[in-house]
This record gives sequence, structure tokens and C-alpha cells, in this order.
Amino acid sequence: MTRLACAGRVRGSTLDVPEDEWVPEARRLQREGWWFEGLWATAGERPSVRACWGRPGELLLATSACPEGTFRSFTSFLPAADWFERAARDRSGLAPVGHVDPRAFLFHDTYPPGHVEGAPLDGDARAQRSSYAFVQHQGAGVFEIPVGPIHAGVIEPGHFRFTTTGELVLDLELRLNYTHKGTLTLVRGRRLDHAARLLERLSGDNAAAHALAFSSAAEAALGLDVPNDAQDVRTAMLEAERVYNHLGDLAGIATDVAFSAGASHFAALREACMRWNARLFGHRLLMNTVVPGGLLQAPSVEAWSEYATALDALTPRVESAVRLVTEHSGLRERVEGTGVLPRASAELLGCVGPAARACGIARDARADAPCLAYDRIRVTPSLRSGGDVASRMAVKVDELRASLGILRSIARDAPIVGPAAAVVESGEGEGIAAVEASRGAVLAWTRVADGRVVDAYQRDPSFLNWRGLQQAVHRNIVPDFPLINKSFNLSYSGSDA
Amino acid sequence: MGDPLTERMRRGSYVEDDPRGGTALTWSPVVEDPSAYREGVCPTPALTRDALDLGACIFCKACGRAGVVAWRAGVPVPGERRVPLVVGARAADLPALRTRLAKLEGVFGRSLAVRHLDVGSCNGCDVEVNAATSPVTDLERFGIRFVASPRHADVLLVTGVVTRNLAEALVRTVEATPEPRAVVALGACAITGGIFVGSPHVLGGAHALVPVDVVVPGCPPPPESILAGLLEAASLLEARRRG
Repeated sequence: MTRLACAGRVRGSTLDVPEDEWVPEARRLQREGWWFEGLWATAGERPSVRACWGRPGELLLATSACPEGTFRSFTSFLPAADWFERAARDRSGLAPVGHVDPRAFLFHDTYPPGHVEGAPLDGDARAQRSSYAFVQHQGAGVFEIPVGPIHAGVIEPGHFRFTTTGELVLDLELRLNYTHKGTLTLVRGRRLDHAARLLERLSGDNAAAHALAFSSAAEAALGLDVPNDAQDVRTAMLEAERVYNHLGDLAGIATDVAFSAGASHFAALREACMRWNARLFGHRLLMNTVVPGGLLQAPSVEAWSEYATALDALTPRVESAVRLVTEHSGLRERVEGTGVLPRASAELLGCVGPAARACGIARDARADAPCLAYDRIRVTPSLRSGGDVASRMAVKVDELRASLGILRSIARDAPIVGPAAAVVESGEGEGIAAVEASRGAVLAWTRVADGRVVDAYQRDPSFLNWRGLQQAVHRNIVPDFPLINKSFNLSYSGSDA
Repeated sequence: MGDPLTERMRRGSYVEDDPRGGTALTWSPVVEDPSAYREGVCPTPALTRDALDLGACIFCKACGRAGVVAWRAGVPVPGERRVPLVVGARAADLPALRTRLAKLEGVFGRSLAVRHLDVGSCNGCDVEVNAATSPVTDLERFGIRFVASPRHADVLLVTGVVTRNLAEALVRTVEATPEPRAVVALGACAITGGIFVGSPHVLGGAHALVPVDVVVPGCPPPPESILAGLLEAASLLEARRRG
């Protein structure tokens, strides 16, 4: 076992696993209390598969060579691995042996059957070359409702296949990856600062989290130290991102139960916060600012001081909007007991973020894998046990308050940081980081050399939580789906990568 | 318990007359020192030795730090593009905008119906489209409303780089929108492919598959630019009708 370069105060280790030990080793790690963080594969001269595991304060990266072009699948005993293995197969061509689902994942019907990343693509980009078989349910009164990829609102594209009896949802099958842009391949060979620009666009609404996760991983790989003041500013960005996203989610839930009076207040608060993002960090969605090694711009003393005053004024507005929404009997009737994600399912599927904490799973990367300023700013995961829409709302309200508290304290300290020095151009290494975004942890792994990305993997929390949404919809009625969906509010682009 | 009416009275109206909200910046980038240009300065295809194409630019200002382009506050000069380059509404334009919108009724017999269509965005543009409908920017006050089906739409507001997996959806959605219609490409990705150019899984901007009438640069464009783009599309439809 050798050391794994982890961002922040996290103990990292690597494990070289012989090919035939891949599954027994995973089962052993599970028994020892490690949770599954993700899996990806690299093709090339020495094809290999990697699985990342976590425990409080620790990350472990297991690697196995795949000389035969295959690896043993975890999915039968670890359902969380399902999509990871299918995505790894499509990206690398390495086949997960024993995986029950051979269907194409990233590449839809205009790609040739069995297409693998890097294989030549030519001809008409609209001609159908393959087809996709949805799961079929049969029986009296069973029917299907296909929805999407183009949805009726201002939302990202994806296909939902509901199987219902009357109003009751028996099953929901998701077909995603419509927005697959090949970002994780496109980033190879890019300069580190340009890579941050590209990877933050994995999911625009979590741009800060993605840029910070990648930058922290690259800094760990190169052994770069970032001063505390810069880490404080970065932490403020991450918390500001959580605030505007949670405000948007609360507005969305109110909208989806037709309580527009409640939604308006949250939407206005969200706009106010996005303008502060622009004022403090130069961008409404916090893009274009974080680079490996530091920040390209940071707030002035005056900006911090005005922000501290503004936060004092925002807080009572947030509180009265929260009261308006959470105490509304009509809204409570819709959200309580709706869309329950059972804790056991959430654990099996590796769910993260507010969705996991709403069913009592005490995981939060800010506490479990503290980087940025979270070794100094302690965060206690906010927990609920119901697993329903109301619990997810309650967790987000708690986190909104906590994040505003962190922002107030950073704004009062007013850390002053100069722009990052020249672009990093030397050194090489491999690093990993976990950063808690508004939806859960972004996991970033990267290998860098001479100021460029050699290889990278970045897991958006949505990639795990979509499976949780599928479970939460069971036995609910179709008209409650938008509400349940909004309570998860997952990223398509982040998941489709 | 909170009461919606009391809260409404306490907060008053959120709507702002100035669609910029006084905070958004408009940039007027100008290539100032082509000799400082080096391959790889720009993370997108926007910058060439002597020109910056705002239709591909993500406004990261890497070219500014490299000394090639001067980023000054101001209204950008539209570049040589096939379609109008719309950069943002100014407060001073508002009375004129209102008059133009009043004319929409004569064009369509009703308000302007917009269908949002994400063909592969990172969701950043979608965040800003939602922000444009917030009670602060409040597009609906201008008679612009978002509809659930392309069959109800006058304008298609396209966000994102066209992915191979959504090419068919883009073409069919445009075909499902009745004439007269206008297609607005919102953001660098929908205009040219932006930062995703070079991936084999994207086909580029929306114009690769459908005719585009108006482009709105930005990554993502802020709400005031979205408003300006939609108004431009409305004027275009009006002009076509007079044709």
C-alpha cells in the first residue's frame, strides 16, 4: 500500500489488486466499513480499472490491471456500481464481466452498437444505427408513460419511462446521457487552468464545487500548498453556491405544489444571492475564478464588509420565507410522506448529499474528507430520518442556515487574497479530492504532468442520486413525480459528463 | 405561521425597472496586442490572432491576462456574424422595449410564447433562463411567457451545445414549431459549441442543424441579455410579417 495524494486533511492510500482478487477485495472493504465512492477505467497500453472507497477521514483507491480487457463486476452485490461499470465500459472498452445489463449507456441510437470512446464516428449524425430496449412490464391494467427527452419546463433533457397501474407508479426507468459531451475525455491534455474552466462546466449550477474539487485534486497531485486565506475565500464560494441552489430548490418545491406566493420570495432571494456571487467573485454562477494553485480574483475589504451587512439583512428575509413555506398546511400535506427513499435503498445505491442525510445517513464530505477550510470550519451533517420530500426540504433549510452562518463568519474575517501566480507548468502526480456540493460530494481524481491533465475522472453527486430518485418514486402517484424530482433536483449534465 | 398576504405587503414588489439590476457588467473586449497572441491562450476557439468571436467566448478573460485583449466595460461591438449579435438590454431602452412589445399583440394576436430547448447545456444557461422568469427580472411583465410545447411557441430558446444524443430532438422540436417562428441560440455553446468544440460527441452550435435567427453571447448570458435576445426575435418576427 502506498500513499495516495489527497486534498486536505484526509488519509489516503492506494491498493494494487490482482485481477482475480477484485471482487473479494471489494467485499472485504465493504465488511470493514468502507463505502463505495466510484469506479472508472482507463484504456491504453496498460488498461486498468480503479475503484474509490471512503471512510470518515480516509480515501482508498484500489487499482487492478485488466490485461484481458475485462474486470469482474461489483453490481450483483453492490448496486451502486451499476452505472459506473456501464459508463466505464463505454469510455474504455473494458468489459465488466458478470454485469447483467449489456445495453449501451453513454451512446444512444445514432452510435453504432457497442461503440467505445475513441472509435471512429462518421456519416450522418442523425441516422439510427442501434436501438435501446426498455424494461417491459406486463399484466392487466399496466401501461407505460414515456416522458422526454424534451421536458415541458425549463429543465435539462432526459427520458423517464414510467410503468403505472392507474395513478400508481410501479416502476420508473431512467434513460439519461442525452447531454453526454465527452467532457472527461476532452479535458485530457488541457492546461490546468483551462481544465478548471471545462470541468466546472460539467454542471453549471455546481461550477464552484467542480472547479474546487478538480483544483484541490491537482494541488494534491503536485504538492501545492494553498494559503489559509485563499482556502477561506474558496470555502465562501462553495457555501455561496449551496445557498443559491438550496434557495432555488425551495422555490421549486413551492412552485411544484402551486404555492407561487411562497416560491416568489425564495426566487427573489436567490437572485439577490446570485448578484452577490457576481459582485464578490466576478460571476453569477461562480465560474472562471478558481484555478489550481489559487484564485483569479477575490473580494476586497469593502466588498466583504458590504456583504456582511447584506447577509444580516438577508437572514430575516430567509427566515420569514422559510416560515411561510414550511408552515403552510397545504404544502405540508403534499410533501409529508411523499417520495420516501428508504434508508436501506439509499445505502445500497450509495446516495449522497441532502438526499442521503434526509434518510439519516451521516455523510458529508465537509466532515468526512475535509479540504478547503473545513479542517478549521467544522460542519455537522444535518440529519432527518423520514426520507420523504419534507425531510429533504428540512435538511436543505438547515443547511441554508448553516451556510449563511459560515458566510457571515468568513465575511467578517474578510480574508484578502491576491490573484494566483502564473499558471503551474511543472511537476507531475496523481491526486484526489472530495468536495461537498449542494447535491452531495463531487469526487475528483486527476493525473497531471508538466502543467497539463493526463487523465481525469470527476463524479457528480447526481450520478449516484438518480438511482435513489427511481426508488423514491415507487408507490407514489404520477402527479407527485415533479415534486419528488424537484426535491432531489439532480443535474443531468453532471451525471451525463 | 407565516401568512402570504402579510409577507407580500412587508416585502413589496420585487420587480426592478432596470433589467440589469445595477450589478451586471457588459464587456467590450477589443484585441489590442495581436503580437502577444500565442496558441492555447484561449480555452475555446473564440480567440484568433486578430479577432475575438464573442459567439464562442466564455468570458474567462484569459486573453486579457495574456495581454492580447483589452477587457473594458461597455457594450460590445457586434462582430461579423450571419445573425444579429445581441448583447444586453439597457435601462434606457426600456420604454422603447415596452412599445415594441405592445406591437407583439398585432403580430401574434397575443403575447410572445417561448419554448426553452436544452440540447446539451451544462445547465448554466438554464439557471439564467429561470432567473429571467424570477419576480425580479420578471419576463412575463413584458408579455413573454414560457410554454410547455413547441406547438404553442413563437420562439425557440436553444441552450447548450448540440450533442449527438440530442440532434434528432433539436430538429424535430424545430419542425414541431409552427411558422412564423424564430430560433434564438443562447450562450456560447448554442452559438458555436463554445468550450466543448473538439469533442466527437457534439455537433457544434444549433446552426449546424437548424436555421438560427438571433444569437445571445455569454457563458451563461445574464437575464438582461436573455430579455434582449427575445425582444430581438420578436422584432424579427414582426419584420417578417410586414415582409
